Amino acid sequence: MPIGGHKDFDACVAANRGKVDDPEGYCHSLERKAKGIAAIEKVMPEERLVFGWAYMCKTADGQRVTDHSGEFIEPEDYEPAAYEFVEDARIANDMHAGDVTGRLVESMFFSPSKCRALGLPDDALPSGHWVGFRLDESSFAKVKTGDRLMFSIEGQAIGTAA
Amino acid sequence: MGTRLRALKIRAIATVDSGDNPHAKIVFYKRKDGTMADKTPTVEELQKQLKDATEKLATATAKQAELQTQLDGKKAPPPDPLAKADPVIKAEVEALRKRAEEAEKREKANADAIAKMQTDKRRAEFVAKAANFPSLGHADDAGQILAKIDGVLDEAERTSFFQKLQSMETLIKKSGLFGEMGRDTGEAATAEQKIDKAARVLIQKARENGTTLQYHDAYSQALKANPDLYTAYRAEQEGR
Repeated sequence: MPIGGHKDFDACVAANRGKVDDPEGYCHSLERKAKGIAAIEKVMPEERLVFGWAYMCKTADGQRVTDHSGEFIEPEDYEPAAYEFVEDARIANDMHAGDVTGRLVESMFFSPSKCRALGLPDDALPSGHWVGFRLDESSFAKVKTGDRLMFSIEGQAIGTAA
Repeated sequence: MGTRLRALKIRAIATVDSGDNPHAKIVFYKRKDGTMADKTPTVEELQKQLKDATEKLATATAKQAELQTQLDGKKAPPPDPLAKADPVIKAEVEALRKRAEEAEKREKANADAIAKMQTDKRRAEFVAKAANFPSLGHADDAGQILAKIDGVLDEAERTSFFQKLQSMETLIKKSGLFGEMGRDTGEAATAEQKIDKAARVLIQKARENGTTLQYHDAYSQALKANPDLYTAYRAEQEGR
């Protein structure tokens, strides 16, 4: 029986493995829908959500944050990149290597003007990129154990001496 | 100063153990039951942790010092009373301390010199005493041995020992035990006795000069120096 555009249940599971947290449960749900049965079960897999600052350009009091490498990004340079990341990428990996380990669930670039728009003082928050990811089990386990404490952006840029 | 990055394009965001941007921290994560778990402690929490850790460290350090003191069997050295003293007073005290150390060194040098003199004197006394006991051999060697023996004897034992030694020496002289090597029986009557006496004089002179002369060498030298005694000695031998 075709399920969700797949020829059968096994094909559905195979196609969604790695894409959803519980492919069997997901395909069962599609199967029930296909059979006209209401999806009543509530799947509660581990949330595996992590949140934090992907990059901070300035602290809340306006001090520029310089990376350990001596590089820095001004908010006006980072903000459009944050939007493009949401449009084009939305992925996380582990230690800048290997396969995709997470999907973006939240992204917001905070700046004094956005704080003002939210009814907060200009210096209520740092100028930076706040993100949330749903990670796979392995990566989430590393966060829980403290093996992964930080985010690190990956991409390309043009460096100019300042 | 630094490098400003422009025209940024973000391909991915990685979870890492230590990132380049010092504030790019995972702040919290959300678990199965929906609870949030903070990943980053607040400043207040960090300060409290630091305070607690500092107190534990101080306690542990004090305990370690106490245990070390017990192990060493010593009390901890008192703090330097001059550490916070006026520089002028400190300099004067340091000068006095230096003079005291120098005086202490001189006193020790004098004590060492006196001890050496006493040792030399004692050694000379026993060398002279050993000269009264020829049967013990060279006076220098015998003197050192007698000094060691004397050191472990009490007064009564010392008196007894030297009395017995003197008796044995007298007995040896009278017994003629070393007659073959030259016996001094007082007045030299025969040529043989005269040669013997001359040999003993040579041995004594050698001792006084700090050298050693064996009896047969002395006897040979005495014969060479007194050929007439040798002639007389031959006559005595033939006349026997």
